[in-house]
Amino acid sequence: MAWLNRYADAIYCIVRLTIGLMFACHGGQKIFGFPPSERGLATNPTGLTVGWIELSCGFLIGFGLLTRLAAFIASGEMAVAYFLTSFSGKVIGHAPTALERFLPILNKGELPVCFASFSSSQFFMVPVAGALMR
Amino acid sequence: MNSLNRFTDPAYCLMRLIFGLNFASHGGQLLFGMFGGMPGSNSPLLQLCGWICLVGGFLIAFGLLTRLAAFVSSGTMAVAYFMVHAPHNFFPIANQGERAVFYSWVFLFIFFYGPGRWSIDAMIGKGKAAPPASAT
Repeated sequence: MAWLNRYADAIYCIVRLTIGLMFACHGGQKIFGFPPSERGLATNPTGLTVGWIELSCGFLIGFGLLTRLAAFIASGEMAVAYFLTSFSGKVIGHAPTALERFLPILNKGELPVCFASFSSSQFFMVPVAGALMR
Repeated sequence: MNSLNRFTDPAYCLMRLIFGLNFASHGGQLLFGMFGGMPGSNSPLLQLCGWICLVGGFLIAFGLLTRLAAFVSSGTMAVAYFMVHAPHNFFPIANQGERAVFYSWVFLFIFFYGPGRWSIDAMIGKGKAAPPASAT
């Protein structure tokens, strides 16, 4: 099955593109209101900072420019987001039990966990599987 | 920055663990009603999906039969996305299908990249064949 590894680079490029653009969508919602969402634009400084990080790092990750730096910032931001909102129980709206703290499926923090773990692995793996930084 | 490359294998292993275990917890949710369960999970299709999530998630997490498990799981999540989420809205962020997209693409990458060096597959295959090249 090792012959599949020949295509790992190309697949990684597509995966990065999709996930980067998905990340940029979160920023776009907060800064430009696109894609449309009922939550509206970000107004407070935290929301604006987070929005710009998501927008810029999302595009950088998606197209593979300064990927390592962008992945570092993005994973850090998502880790902070996870601990401030999901881990602390803000998303589920009550004080979390021990189980709810540590299971992303229960504290509704699966998405930040996905983003954080993907971009942190990307921080370490970029030159391995991304052609542009070689 | 290339000094970071020596952490490739642990980083990849950690990513597999996080995605695999999160995926397996969805299987537990569908099959055994853990974590609050999921409405409608007794339909045959969702039971099948539950078994794939549970078994595939654990296999991917610990790196046993990684490529096979990742291929099946990736396909399952792609079907789930297009059956359940895509009809509602074009954007994954609006149709709640972001996690399905995530699992589908990441498992597709795992299918092509292989188990990596920190996995049960690599421990079993030691001596038989060289582990998959990390620097292609």
